[in-house]
Amino acid sequence: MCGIAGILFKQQEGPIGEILIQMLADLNRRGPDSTGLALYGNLPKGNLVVRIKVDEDARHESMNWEASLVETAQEYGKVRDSSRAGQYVRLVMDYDGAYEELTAALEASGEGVEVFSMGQHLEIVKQMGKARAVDATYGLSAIRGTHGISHTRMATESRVDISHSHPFWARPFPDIAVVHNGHITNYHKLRRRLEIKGHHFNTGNDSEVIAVYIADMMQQGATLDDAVRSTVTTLDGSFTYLVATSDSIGFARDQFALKPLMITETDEFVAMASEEMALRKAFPFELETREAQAREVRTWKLERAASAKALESAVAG
Amino acid sequence: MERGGGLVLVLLAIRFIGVPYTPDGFASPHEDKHKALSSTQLHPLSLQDGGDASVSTIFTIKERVCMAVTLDCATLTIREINTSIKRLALEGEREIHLIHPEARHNLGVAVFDPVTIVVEGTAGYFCGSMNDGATFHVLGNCGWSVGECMLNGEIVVERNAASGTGASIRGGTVVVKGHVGARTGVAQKGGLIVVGGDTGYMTGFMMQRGTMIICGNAAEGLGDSMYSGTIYLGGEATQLGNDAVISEMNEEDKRFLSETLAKYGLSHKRALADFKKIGSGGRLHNFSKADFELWRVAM
Amino acid sequence: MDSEKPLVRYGQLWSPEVMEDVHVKAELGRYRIRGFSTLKKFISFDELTFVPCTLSRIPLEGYREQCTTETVLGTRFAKKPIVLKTPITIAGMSFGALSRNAKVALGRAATRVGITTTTGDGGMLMAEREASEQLVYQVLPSRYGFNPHHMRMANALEIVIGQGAKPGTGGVLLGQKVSEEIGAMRELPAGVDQRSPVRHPDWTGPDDMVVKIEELREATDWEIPIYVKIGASRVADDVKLAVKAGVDVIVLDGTEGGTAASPDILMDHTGIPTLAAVVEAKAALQEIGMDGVVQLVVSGGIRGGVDAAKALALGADAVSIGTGALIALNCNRPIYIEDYHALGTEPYACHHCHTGRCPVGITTQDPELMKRLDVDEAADRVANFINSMTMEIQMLARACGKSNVHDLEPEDLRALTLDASFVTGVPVVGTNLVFGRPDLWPQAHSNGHRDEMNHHQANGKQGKKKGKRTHEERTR
Repeated sequence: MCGIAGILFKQQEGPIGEILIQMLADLNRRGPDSTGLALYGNLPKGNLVVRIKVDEDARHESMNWEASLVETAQEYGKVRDSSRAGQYVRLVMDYDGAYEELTAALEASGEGVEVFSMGQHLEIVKQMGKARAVDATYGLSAIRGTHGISHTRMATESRVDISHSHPFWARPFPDIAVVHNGHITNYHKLRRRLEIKGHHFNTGNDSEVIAVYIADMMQQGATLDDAVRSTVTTLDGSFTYLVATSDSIGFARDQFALKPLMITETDEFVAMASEEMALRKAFPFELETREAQAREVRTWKLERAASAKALESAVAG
Repeated sequence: MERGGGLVLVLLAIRFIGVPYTPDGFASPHEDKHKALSSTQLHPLSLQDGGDASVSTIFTIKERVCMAVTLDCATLTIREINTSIKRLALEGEREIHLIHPEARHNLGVAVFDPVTIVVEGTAGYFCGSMNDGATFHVLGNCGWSVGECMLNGEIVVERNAASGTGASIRGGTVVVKGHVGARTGVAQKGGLIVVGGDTGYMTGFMMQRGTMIICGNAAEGLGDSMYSGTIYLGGEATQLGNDAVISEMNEEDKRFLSETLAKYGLSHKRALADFKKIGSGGRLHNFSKADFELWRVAM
Repeated sequence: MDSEKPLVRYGQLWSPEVMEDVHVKAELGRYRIRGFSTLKKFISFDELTFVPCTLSRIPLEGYREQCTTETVLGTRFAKKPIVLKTPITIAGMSFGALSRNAKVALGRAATRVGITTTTGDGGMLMAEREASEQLVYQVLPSRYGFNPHHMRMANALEIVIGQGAKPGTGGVLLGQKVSEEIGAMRELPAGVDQRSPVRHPDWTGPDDMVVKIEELREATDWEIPIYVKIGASRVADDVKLAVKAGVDVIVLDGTEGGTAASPDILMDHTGIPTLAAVVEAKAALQEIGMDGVVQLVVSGGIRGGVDAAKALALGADAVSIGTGALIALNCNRPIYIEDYHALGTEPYACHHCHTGRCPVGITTQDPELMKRLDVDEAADRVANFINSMTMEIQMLARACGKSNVHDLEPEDLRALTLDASFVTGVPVVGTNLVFGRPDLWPQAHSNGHRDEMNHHQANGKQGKKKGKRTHEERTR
C-alpha cells in the first residue's frame, strides 16, 4: 500500500521535480520503503533518453558502467550525453529503431542492469529510501518539465528493492509509466495471459501488470483513454493508479473506491495525491479539491495552444 | 461555492490577542496565488506568515469567555495540538481556533468537553473523531472519516469531505455542505448526517440506526444492507443498494427536512418536493432461501 | 451373525459426513454456520518433541530452582506496556457470543493469575471491566458498541483485522443470539441475522492504518499498547505491514482458532495452521530487525502448557487461549447431558455455540441456561487451568535448562515427522537433517551450529546460505 502523486502543467513547463518531492516527502508516511518518480520534459538535444539501473554490488564497483553502456548504445545511435548518479546511468541519444532491441542490448551488458525507462520525454528514477534522501542523491527537485507521476511504497507482497519499486515503465512503449496504490488480486492470471502473448515482466510486483496491460492494449490500437477505462473492469482488487504518457496524465479508481485520491485543478495545472495534506505541502494555499469517485477514469492532456482544452472523459461504468 | 461573505463575518466574530490573522489564502482571490505559482519557482512553504500564536500565549482565565484561543498548527505537532485542546477545554475555554491546519490528520480526536473548535482551513483524516459533546466547524475541506465513532456533538464542514464521512457515528450530527465521497455514514448507529452536495459509492452501507439527508445525487449502492434508519435523498441514486426501498414521505418527514436544512443554510440546495425517503426493505433481516437473488450477494 | 451378509463399505471421498452436508444444504439453501473451531486435523505442535538436558547440558531443578514466566507486551511505543505474570492471555470473545457469567468468570480468573482478557465484537461489558484488572479493548470492523470512553478505560487496544477461523470474512450472528440486550448494545433490531462487515468503516489498507493507529494513540494519550490481530493467512507480508504501520504487538490466530458462529467451510479451508504461522511470523520479524521490538502472541488451538511451550520455543512471546479457556469453564463437560442430546450432539462433540442453547451456560443469552455457570466456580476452574499451563511450561523450560521460559528456542525441539521439519526448520529426530529451506527459519539467523546442519541437509544446493530471502523468492 502506498502514496501516489501527480502533476501536469497545462501550458508550459514547471517545477515538477520540486512539487513531486514535496508531496512525496509527506506521503512517505504511507510508504516508507522506497520513492520513485516518472518525470516528463523536453530534451534539448537527441530524441531518446534512457535511465538504466546498475547494481551496486561490490563486484561491480570496479566496472565503469557509464562507459560500458555508452559503448553499447553507440552501436545503435549517436550518444549525445551521458551521466552517472547513484545507481543510475542516464543516456541521451539519437535513435529511431525498435525500443525493445535497444533495451535488450543494454540489459545484456551485465547482471543486474535494467532499463527503467525509455522515451522522448520520460525519465524514471526510483530508489529505496525516503523522498528527501532520494532527492539528495539524484537532484530531482531541480528538474523542470511538463508533467510527472510519483510514488512512495509500502510493499505488500513483493520484494522491497529498487526494481520492485514504482513507477513502472510499460515497456517497450515509449513514455508510458504507471504508479499504483492498492493490490491487484488477479495479478497472476493477467500476468500469465500477457506472458503468453509475448510480454516480459521484470519483477514480481503486481503493480507492474497495470503498465504491461496498458502497453498491450495500446499495441492493439487502443487509445490511452480506452486502455485505462478497460482496466476498471479487467483488474480485480484495490487500485487507484496514475498513468502518464508523453503528453497526458490520467487516473483510474477501482469499483469499491478503496484507495484514496484527491484532485485539484486550476487553469494552469492539475495535481493529484493520495492525501490532501501532500497537496498542501506543494501548494501552500487553500485548494478546490475533490475526491475521485469509484470507477472514475480521467485524463488530461498538455495544451499546446490557448484554445486547446483539457481532454475530459466521463466517469466509467 | 460559498466563500468570502459568510467567512468574513466569522472572522470578525473572533478576537485574537496580539497577533494579526491571515488565513492561508482562504479569503484571497485564487488568481493571485496562481500567478505567483506560474511565474516563479516555488519556494519552500513559508509557514510563519499568519501568526505565531503558540501554546505559550494561551490564556487560562475563565472570564474571557467570549475570547477565542488560537493554536497555530504550523508550529505544533499533532500531539501538542490535541493535548492543548484537551487542557484548554478543561480549563474552561469555550472556543479554540486551529489555524494553518494544512489538511493534517487527527485534529481534535476524542474531545469529550463542550468546547467549540474552529478549523480555519482544511482538515485531514479523522477530524473530530470519537467526539462526545464538542462542536467542530471546519471552514475548508476534510479528509476521510470525519467524526467517525462520534457519540455526541456537532461537526460542520463548509466545503467537501472525502470517504467515510460520519462512519459508524452513534449520535450527534455531521454536516458537510459540499460533496462527500464513498461510504458516507457506513454502519451508522445513530445520529444525523447531512450532505449538501453529492455522495459516493456505498453511502449508508449497513446503516443500523439514525438519519441521513443527501441533497444531491448518490452513486451506486445507496443504503445497501440497511438494517434500519432513514435516508432522505434529494437527487438521483445511480442504483439503490440491496434491500434499500423507497417509501412515502409524511408531514413529519417534510417538517424535519425543512427545519434541518434551514438550520444549516442548505434549504436552497434542493426543493423539498424532490426528496425521497429510503429505508430497509426488511428482506435481509433474516435469511430466506427463497430469496436467493438477494441473498447470494448479501451473505 | 449371518456370515453371508455383505460388508458395508463407506467411501473416503463421499463419506457419510460429506453426504449429510449435501443433504442439509439441499434444505438450507445457504452455507452452514456453526461454532467452536475446525474439526479437521492440521499439522500441529504434536509433531514436535522437546530434547531436554541430559549430559550435554544441565537441567534446572523442578520444584526448586526459579523459572521466570513474566512477559511484557507493548515495549515498542507504549508508556504503559502490559505485564503478564505468565505468557498466556485470554483471547477476544464477545459478550453476545458468551454469556455475562462467562465473561465475568474469565475476568476474575485473569485477575487472579495476572493476565489479560479481551473484549469482543459488541463492546465493553462493564462487569468485565470490573472483573478483569487488565482488559484489552478490541477495535473491530463492525464497531458494535464501540465507545471512546470505554476505549480510554482499557489497558491496551487490539485492532482486529480478522481471526483464524475465518480470515478475510466478516462475522455472522444468527438471530436467535441477538437478544434484546445484545441488540440494544449493538444498535441492531433484536432477532436479526447480524452480518458484520469484514473491513473497518473508516480505513482500508495498511497505509491508511498508519493514520488510524496515530488516531488511536492520540485518543489514548500514547500511553497504552496497540495490538493488531490477524487471522493467519499471508503471515510474512502481514507481519511486515503491521510493523510498518506502527503496531506494538502482533496477535496471530491460526486456522484452528475458535469462533461462536462462522461458516464451516472457512474454518476448514482458510488460513494456515498455528504451527506454521508462528514460524513464518518470527522469520518475518527477524528479517526486518523487529524481533524483540514488536511482540508476537499466537493463538489457535493452544490446548495446554505443552502447545504453549512449543509456541514459545518457536518464537512466540505469549500465547492466547480462547477455546481452551471455555473448555476450562465447562464447555463440553458431561453434565446436563440430556440438553446435549436435545441439540443433536454429545459431550466432547458439541460445537453448537451458534444455537444459543449452550447446555452449560457459556455461549448463550438465555437466563435459565446462564444460571448453570456459577461465576465463582467457573473463575476457579479457569484460574486452575491457566496455573496448570504455567506449571507445564515451566517444567519443560527447566528440563531444557532455562531459568526463563522465554529462553526456549527452536533448538530445544526435534521434529517427529518430515512435514513438521519442513514447516518449522527443526531437524528430524535421529538425524541432523532439516528438510526444505532452512534460510527461511528463525534459527537460520543464529550461529555456526546451524551452519553445519545446513551444510549436510538433504536439500544440498542451499549449502551455507543464510538469508534474507523473501516470500517472493520462496514462492518463485
